[in-house]
Amino acid sequence: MKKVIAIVMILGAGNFAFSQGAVMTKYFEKYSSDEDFTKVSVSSKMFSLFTELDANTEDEKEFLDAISKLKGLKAVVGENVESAESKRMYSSAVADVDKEGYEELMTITDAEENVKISIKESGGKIEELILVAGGKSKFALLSLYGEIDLKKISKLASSMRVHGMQHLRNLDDDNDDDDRN
Amino acid sequence: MRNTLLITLLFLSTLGFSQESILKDFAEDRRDVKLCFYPSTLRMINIKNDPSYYELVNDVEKLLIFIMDADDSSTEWTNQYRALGYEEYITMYGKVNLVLLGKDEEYVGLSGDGNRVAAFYLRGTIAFQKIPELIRTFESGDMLSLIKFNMDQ
Repeated sequence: MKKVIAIVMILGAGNFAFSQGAVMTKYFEKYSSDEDFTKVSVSSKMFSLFTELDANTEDEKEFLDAISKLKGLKAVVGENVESAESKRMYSSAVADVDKEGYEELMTITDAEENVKISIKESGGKIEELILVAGGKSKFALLSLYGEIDLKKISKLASSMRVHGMQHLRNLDDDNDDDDRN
Repeated sequence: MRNTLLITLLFLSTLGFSQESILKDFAEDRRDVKLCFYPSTLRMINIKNDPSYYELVNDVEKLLIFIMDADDSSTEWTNQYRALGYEEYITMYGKVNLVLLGKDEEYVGLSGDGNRVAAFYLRGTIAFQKIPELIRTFESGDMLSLIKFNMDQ
């Protein structure tokens, strides 16, 4: 009986781990051979290189501190996407994210672009942040995973030139009182 | 005993050679430009004697760069390195391709668009913390750009 429970628990844990990256995996596979969509993957090995940098200012120190706790970044970015297609993709991606149980953190809607930022928490810590952006001609799905500090993540947004990351700068203003981490 | 040691050394040297040769086998017949740098040639580029550059390349034992026309198979050779246990640092696929893989003190990668691609093999270690300073040095024109020189030929 104990063996059966253990097997069920292992299978359950396996499914949970898989579901964490399921949205990103789906979009990576879907657009793998479409050159109009750029697929970016940055591993923890790359982030660990940043820890060797010397911080000269407080901002740089915060940036390096934030980046050292990340385990990876994945993004699918489409440019020159038709407006109707971009809106359809945005709605579809948001539905996929919601279905996977992510918690909504912020939504930005303006004439240029719709953006939704969602998170997945475990043990009171944010372990994945997922951003969906769809505009007049662009679509972006971006996932950051590892140990994420919302107060420091805006520093990354200013430093990384990946479409969609700029929206994370808003987290600094909107989460000053947030004590998630 | 001596024979065993000799065989082991030969085997290890073959391994080292074969890992470099994956890229060579792929690129030799396709490349327009081949650049091979050793510590002495790497130092020659530094015409303004920038100390950051020396620190960056000080532990680089060998750097091979192949520049060639891009086609559908331009990134395929990297899978052979993945199969050997080289880990991904960064990958980008789309209109612009970028791959950096590494294992122990060996790095391979490529950078390019739909027309041209530069593939490299590096043995040794790089002082990554010096890269921002080095980029500034390159941008200020204090470094002899052999790659640009060769591309202009």
